[in-house]
Amino acid sequence: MMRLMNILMLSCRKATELMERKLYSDLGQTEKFQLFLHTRMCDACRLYEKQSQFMDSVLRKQSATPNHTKASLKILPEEVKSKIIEELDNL
Amino acid sequence: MSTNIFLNNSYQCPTVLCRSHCSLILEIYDFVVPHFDANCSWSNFDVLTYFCFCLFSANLCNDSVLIMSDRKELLTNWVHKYSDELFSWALHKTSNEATAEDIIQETFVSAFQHFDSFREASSPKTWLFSILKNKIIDYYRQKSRNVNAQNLAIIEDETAQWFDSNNRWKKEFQPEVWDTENQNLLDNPEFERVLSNCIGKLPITWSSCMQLKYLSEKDTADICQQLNITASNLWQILHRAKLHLRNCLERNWFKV
Repeated sequence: MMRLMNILMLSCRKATELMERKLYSDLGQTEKFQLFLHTRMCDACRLYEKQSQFMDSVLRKQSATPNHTKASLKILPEEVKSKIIEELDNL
Repeated sequence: MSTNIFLNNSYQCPTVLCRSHCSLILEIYDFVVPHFDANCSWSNFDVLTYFCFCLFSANLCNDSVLIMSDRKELLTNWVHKYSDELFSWALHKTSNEATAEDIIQETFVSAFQHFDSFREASSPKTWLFSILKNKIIDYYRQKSRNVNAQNLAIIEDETAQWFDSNNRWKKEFQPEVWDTENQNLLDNPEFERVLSNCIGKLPITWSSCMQLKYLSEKDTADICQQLNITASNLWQILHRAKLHLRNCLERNWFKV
């Protein structure tokens, strides 16, 4: 019985890894089922899945070309600008 | 001069006009460009308006020669106009000022060298950002060169501590409820700062893999090939990076 449980039930560690893969690619049928079972029973992993998706959306947004608001705009120091312009002149 | 452009029977793109000694033209340039499609032919743009624009610019510039000889001046202008935005993003993506400054410099040099590939239909800003993005990808690709099994093994120990002997969550490392709905975290600079810090704490090879994954929008196979690792290695890295990131965010933002 324990053995059967072991096949059916993923560990939390394995489950979280499958969730990561699921974000970008398809899982096999068995994996899908295992993950489904696990998340039904494990509160922590259910939370983890939500958080993982949240982080994914944040990272995605972060990588998209930005539209900076005034608040988040950092100023490139003048001397660096002059250095770049100087370098362009020398090309 | 402006009439020449029409007599030639080849309506040239505004870039041709746009090299000029007048910064004002650059302002107008931003206004005119959207009216041309990718092939630089007319699209919904009033010929008369364009004609006025030509006259106007020719006058302003003392009839200076309207060829693209002065890209330096154009680029210098772009440095003033766009470098802050480019820098902000580079800083955001690399979390390191010196690196970001270098990358911006490379971006402009590269822009100068590949000026011919600047499609007039795209805005200078979009073009510069696409160059910058490639520079950042290159940066991370270099950083993640030394991913190997050994590296992976060292770091394995750390996330392993968060699970018990059955690989279930240990109580103290178990995910807790996050309040992500009520605050608009995606636009919160404070949150972004915490996030950047957390990413900065990851081993450099991991964060590089992660940045590559999100920046390059390439599929896993491509990235693996670039980094010379197997797909399962990449998943392992991404998984562990995510575990760390989660832990860090929880401790530094959600549970504070």
